[in-house]
Amino acid sequence: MSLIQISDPLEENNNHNKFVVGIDLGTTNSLICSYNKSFKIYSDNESDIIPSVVRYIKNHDPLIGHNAITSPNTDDSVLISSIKRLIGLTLDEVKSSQLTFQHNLKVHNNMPSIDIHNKMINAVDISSEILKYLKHIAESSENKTLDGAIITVPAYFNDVQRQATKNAAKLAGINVIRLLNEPTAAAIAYGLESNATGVYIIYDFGGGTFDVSILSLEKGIFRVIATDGDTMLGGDDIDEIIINWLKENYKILEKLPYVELKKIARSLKESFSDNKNSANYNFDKHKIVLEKKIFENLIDKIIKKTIDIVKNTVKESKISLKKINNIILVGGSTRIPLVKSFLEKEFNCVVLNNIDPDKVVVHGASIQASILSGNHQEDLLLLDVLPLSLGIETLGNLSEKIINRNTPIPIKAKKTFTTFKDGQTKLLVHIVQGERELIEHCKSLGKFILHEIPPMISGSPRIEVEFQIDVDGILSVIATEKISGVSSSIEVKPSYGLTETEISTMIQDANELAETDMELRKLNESKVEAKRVIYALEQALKKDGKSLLNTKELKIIDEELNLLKQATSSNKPDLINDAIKKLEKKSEFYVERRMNSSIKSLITGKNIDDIL
Amino acid sequence: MNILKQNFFELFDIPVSIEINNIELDRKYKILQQQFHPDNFLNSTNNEKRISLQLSSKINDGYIILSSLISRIEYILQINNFIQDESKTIQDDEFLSEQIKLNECLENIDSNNVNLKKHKLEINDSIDKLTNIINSNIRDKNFSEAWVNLAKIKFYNNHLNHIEKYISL
Repeated sequence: MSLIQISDPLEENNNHNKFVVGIDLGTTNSLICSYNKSFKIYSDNESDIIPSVVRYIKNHDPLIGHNAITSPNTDDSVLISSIKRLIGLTLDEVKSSQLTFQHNLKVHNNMPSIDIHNKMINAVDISSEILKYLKHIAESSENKTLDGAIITVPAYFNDVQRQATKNAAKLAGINVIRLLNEPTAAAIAYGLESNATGVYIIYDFGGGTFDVSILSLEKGIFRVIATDGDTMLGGDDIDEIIINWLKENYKILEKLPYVELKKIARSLKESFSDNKNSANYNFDKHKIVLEKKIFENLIDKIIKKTIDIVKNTVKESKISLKKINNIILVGGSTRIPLVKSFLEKEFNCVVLNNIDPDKVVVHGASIQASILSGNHQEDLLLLDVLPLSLGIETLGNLSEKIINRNTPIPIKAKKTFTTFKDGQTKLLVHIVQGERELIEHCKSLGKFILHEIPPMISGSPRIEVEFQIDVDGILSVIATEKISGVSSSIEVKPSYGLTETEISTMIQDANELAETDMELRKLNESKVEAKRVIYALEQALKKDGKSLLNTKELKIIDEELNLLKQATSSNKPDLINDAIKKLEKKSEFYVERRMNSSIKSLITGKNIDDIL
Repeated sequence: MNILKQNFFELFDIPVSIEINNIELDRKYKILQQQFHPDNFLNSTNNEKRISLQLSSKINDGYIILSSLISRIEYILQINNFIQDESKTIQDDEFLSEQIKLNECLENIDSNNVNLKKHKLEINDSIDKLTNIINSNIRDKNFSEAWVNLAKIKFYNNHLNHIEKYISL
């Protein structure tokens, strides 16, 4: 193979595996797990499943998980749960959704925040506390520093929710290898553990979100064909219905605090997982009874809603029902027996739940982390899709779709715009995500103004806007004015959340790193990157430098290579980084040429069957 | 030649044609992604990461365009440098009456209509016939005629999408 897939130069010095994990950051529970021929889930003494709950206590570090739940409810402590439902939402979106959130929200830094002990805390902060805790228990169990993690997100998460999750991980000091869609992670676990091949529906019904993905599993390649879902539909909504029923039917419970009601509701709901005919709960000498029939009537509407989403996804995938091998159940809410019986009845195929629906996602994520970091040798490529269409605001408050949902990612798309007034020098580009026609029904991802368009007659400037979606499903946009020759490019700064600088300041604040520490870290990072670049290039030159480059070209690359080597010994990070950039620029044509030659042999070569 | 500048037929190394072998396209698509997907470049230099992102995006783009008949025909017209004035209307009385007939059929549609599947087959048949005509149009380099016939296929396709909503799983 070519220049591609070279080994990490750092790894050569040390043959140890990298310490990488999968993290399932769930609405109700979170899990962290590593994979090395077998799974190792890190537990906090209580259990493998860690409640996604944070308790902020005045003048004290926050408590997370079981500790947060069991510690006493005092006046100066604030308990926060189900924060995933709020991540990436604006205050208006929270208000217009039917979410029950027990705290008073105010806008701070563009994000809905809660005032806790005179500090404004948002969903990213709270999620990062959970992630920090997960990282801590894994690191202290292995007595090693974490090298990287794959974090799972609902397939139907939009760009903002994905960015926010990544930001939370950065704040927690976690190097995110990839974001992975939860149903895709589950498919990896099933696909590799049971060698499943064929077409599968992944039905993922969790605490706060519902996802469905249709995947084609083949040896060496897992492809998502279509995905859909509802990020505001989950076990929490079932609890809400039971709470209302409790208040209507048991007057003594009317004045009970929400947290207590939720506890009763969940206990009743979970009783049905064992196929019981009725659920009981003893409260203050009162016996609360919920019959199965009543329970199923209460949740009928929610389950039907999920079934309708699955039907639509199958339709959209254009795959006939006959071709679907199995339905795979993921997420705690699939323990409700009604879910399985509904699916069997509607789709007439075998429904699988042999891997623990609470652990299947983190299993898949840990396998993928192990593969991508090179610890685990397995030929597996995942091809995922964009869950929600991307568009731009056009006249009449309409969204013009630029990239349709269920398009495989990564993907790039271009769109050309022009001015509509003579001499217009500015243009506002508003990017939105969602399926609906009207802008107000879509999620606003960001607005940016293109300045310095040369004044021309209306309609003559050619402004090309380029959208690039990466493998995490995250968007970046570049706009260029083509005609004037003075092309101005701009990268979009998200109008939500945090900018890169804000994040690094926050990390700095959090760690309270001394200045020298920061400098040292910067220098180390630069040296590592320089080493990587030098190694890759030298390996490549050894292989085909003489056949792909002429003497003059070889000399140019050689010179820059030596300059970088000199810079590396200077111990000045800025100097090293500059030299890296220069070398990369000067050798770019060579990298492209190598890819060209490898693509040619790949596609037209005689040994094509050997590759397969 | 630079792969980032190659056209999609060259990229997948398949003959430029309206009719393609989808199994072959799928096979090539997988080989290319297995080699150039950014997941293979996590430990590589930034240059390689960037190029692999571009390449993998291009492979996906090409796969989408070559997979569907309509975008495939549009693409063939595009690589032949044929640009049609979109404001031009088709003058074809026979097709116009066909359009009116089909639109009326949409108004009377309901999910209990047992003839819906038969109707779908008829439409697909019309699309197949037009595809054959476009094939010879392109062979004769008669791109404007190909464009007119493509517009007809697009109409049939929209019609199919409409009736699809009434056909249950």
